[in-house]
This record gives sequence, C-alpha cells and structure tokens, in this order.
Amino acid sequence: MSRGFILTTDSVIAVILSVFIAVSVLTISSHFVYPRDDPHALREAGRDLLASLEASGELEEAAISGNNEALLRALNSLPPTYCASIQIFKNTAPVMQVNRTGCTCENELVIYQRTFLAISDGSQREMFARFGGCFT
Amino acid sequence: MKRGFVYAVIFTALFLMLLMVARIYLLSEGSMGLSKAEKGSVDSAGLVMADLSQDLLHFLDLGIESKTLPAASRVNLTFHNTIPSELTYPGTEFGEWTAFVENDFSEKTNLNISMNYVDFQLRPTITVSPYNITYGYSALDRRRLVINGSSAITNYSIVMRLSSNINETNASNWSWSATPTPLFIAFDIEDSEGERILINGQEAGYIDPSTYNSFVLSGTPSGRMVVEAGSLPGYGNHSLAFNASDLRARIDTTLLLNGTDGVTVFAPIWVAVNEQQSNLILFRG
Repeated sequence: MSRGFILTTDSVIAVILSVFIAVSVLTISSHFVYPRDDPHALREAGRDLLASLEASGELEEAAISGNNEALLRALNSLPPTYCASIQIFKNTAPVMQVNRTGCTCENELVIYQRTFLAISDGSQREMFARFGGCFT
Repeated sequence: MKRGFVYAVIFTALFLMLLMVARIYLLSEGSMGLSKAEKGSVDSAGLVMADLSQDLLHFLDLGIESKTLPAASRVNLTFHNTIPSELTYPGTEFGEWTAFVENDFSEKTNLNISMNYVDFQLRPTITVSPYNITYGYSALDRRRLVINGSSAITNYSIVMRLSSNINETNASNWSWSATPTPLFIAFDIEDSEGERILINGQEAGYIDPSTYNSFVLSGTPSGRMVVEAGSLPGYGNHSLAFNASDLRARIDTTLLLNGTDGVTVFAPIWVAVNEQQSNLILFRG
C-alpha cells in the first residue's frame, strides 16, 4: 500500500509541476514580440532614415524647395510592415508632412526628432525633422 | 524507487533552470516593448550630440574623413571645406542655432539641452587628437583658415577650386627646397576657367617647415587668395593657412600624419543633455 501511496503522490507532484511549467512557458512566450514587429527596430529605422536624409542633404533640399519626393521615396523603402511619416518644422511651425504611401498611423508607436540646418541665399534656417511610426 | 526519485529531482531541477534561462533572456531583451519614457523622442545624450555635431559641420561647410594605414605607420586625414562662409551674418546665425537648440529643440524633445560655446565663438577652432593639430578660422565668417601643424604632419595635399578666374600669381615669397625636408606639399589648384596654377613652375615639392612661405593668387576683376605655409607667426612650424577675399574656394586638404592612432576631432563646445555633459565630437576615425 505504501508503494501505491508513493506512486500517487509522485504523479500528483508531476502533474502540478507540469501545469506550473506549462503556464510559465506560456506567460513568458506571450511577452515575446517577433523582430518583425519590434518597436526598437522601427525606431532605429527612423533614426537612421533621418540621419541619412540629413547627411545626404535631402532634408535640407526638401525644406528649401518644398519638394517631398526624396522623403517619400525614403519612407516607401522601409520594410513593408512599417507605417511612418516625416514632418518638417521651421523652428516650431510645421512646413511639410509626408506619409508613406497607402498608410497612416492612428497612434504613433515611436517618435524620433533631430535638428538640421537649411542654408540658402546667404541665410540659414533652423529646422527639425520628426519621424513618427507604427506597424501596419 | 530511490533511482526514480533521483530522476524526478534531476528533471525538475533541469526544467526550472530552463525556465530561469528563458526568463533572463526575456529580461535582457528588454521585454521587446517601449516604456513611456522611451516612446518620447530623442533617447540619449549621445544621439543629441551626434545630431548637433552634424549641424555644426554643416554650418562650417566642413567634411572630415580619415584612413589609418598601420603597415605604413601613417594616417591620412582629409578636411573638405569651403571658404569663406556663404552666410551673410554667420555670427548671428550661429547664435540663432544655439538658441534654437537650447529652447525650441529642448522643449520639443523634453530634454534639458544647454550649450557652452563662448570659446568656439571667440576662436572657431577644432582640435585633432592625439596629434595636437588644430584646424580653425580667425572668425565665423571663415575668411582665414589656418591649420596649426605639428611635426607629425609630413605631407599636405591640397586640392583647391576657385570661384574666380586667376590672372596673376605672385610667388616671390615661396621657396621650394632643392633637397628633401620634413614637409612635402602638393597643390592641385584650378581657377573658375579650369586653368591649372603652378607655384614657381611646380605643383609639388618640399619646403622648409621652419621658414615662412606664401603666394598670392589675384582674380579678375577682383578677388584674392593668399596661401601661407611653414612657420606662420603665432602658429608655429608645419602650419598652413588660406586667406580668401572676394572669392570663394573649395579646399580639400589631406594631411599625412606620422602615427597609427585613429583620430578624434572635437569642437570646444560643451553640450549638456539633462545631466550628461561632453565636448562636441565631430569625427572619430
């Protein structure tokens, strides 16, 4: 009888442990976000996008000429699950907004802003660009 | 039965360890989400510094690149620059930029950004570490550009494209050395018509780095560029200077440095972002 009691106790403990482990694994895995929808990756993409647009002079060109084609092309080259927009401000006044073709963010998940200078005709304008992004 | 018990204990311990490892991995990945603070805008002092560095380089119309050649114990450092400034009031524009950063940009990004730029305003000069070289201007209008050399510089290679047609070159104060010296200079100068300009019949050669040399290029109908090299008053040996009046010039200067250390170029502008302070680093290479 004592062997039967020990086996029963052993199986009860095994069931309890199995349930505990299964619940723990499910809890942990539910917090995992696939890299495809990783907000950090989206923000890094926004940061790199604005930095490269500033370095190439395309932000400045857009601010001076009002032509947003280069910014739109850059936004449309982002991964397909990214939805994003770029706004350009002169001091604090918005002067341009470009949205990725075919999408608009209801709630922006990430925001990144950086300053740049637009120099033309012997004068300089202090501007900043704002990247806002979410997932489609 | 004892063996079964031991197995049960071992497997339980292994599963618990597996769970702990999974938990630690998840925490190290930052739980893959953004906190409210992170959702803000610019997220670190480093990013703000890099952003401001790029603005300052653009303000100075300056590009920097370097190449380290360890096998040759040599570093090639190149500055791409245009003088003088195309801004009508560069001092005012500089002040407006710093005010914009400290006020509007600080407010937009919810960061407390302050800048100490008095030294730079008085003497707009950047420093190349660890070679003890400065590259700077007499004022923010960038009419006079001076590279305060050191004996680490063995060679200057200068590409200059001028905005005016040059009709006269006066190089009576320039002496090419007949024998090798510690300083070699090569010029590639073209005026607005694409005419190549020679200095006393040569484009390259050695000069004595401890003597003063200069030549003057005069433009049509006006404009002047004075180039000085060697021992410049107030700057020491191995130095190089360009003075532009009534013309503009794109000047790419490559310095060959004796050494294998990478370069760090910084401006004497202190930037504080929240509690973090640093000199503005313009380039690392």
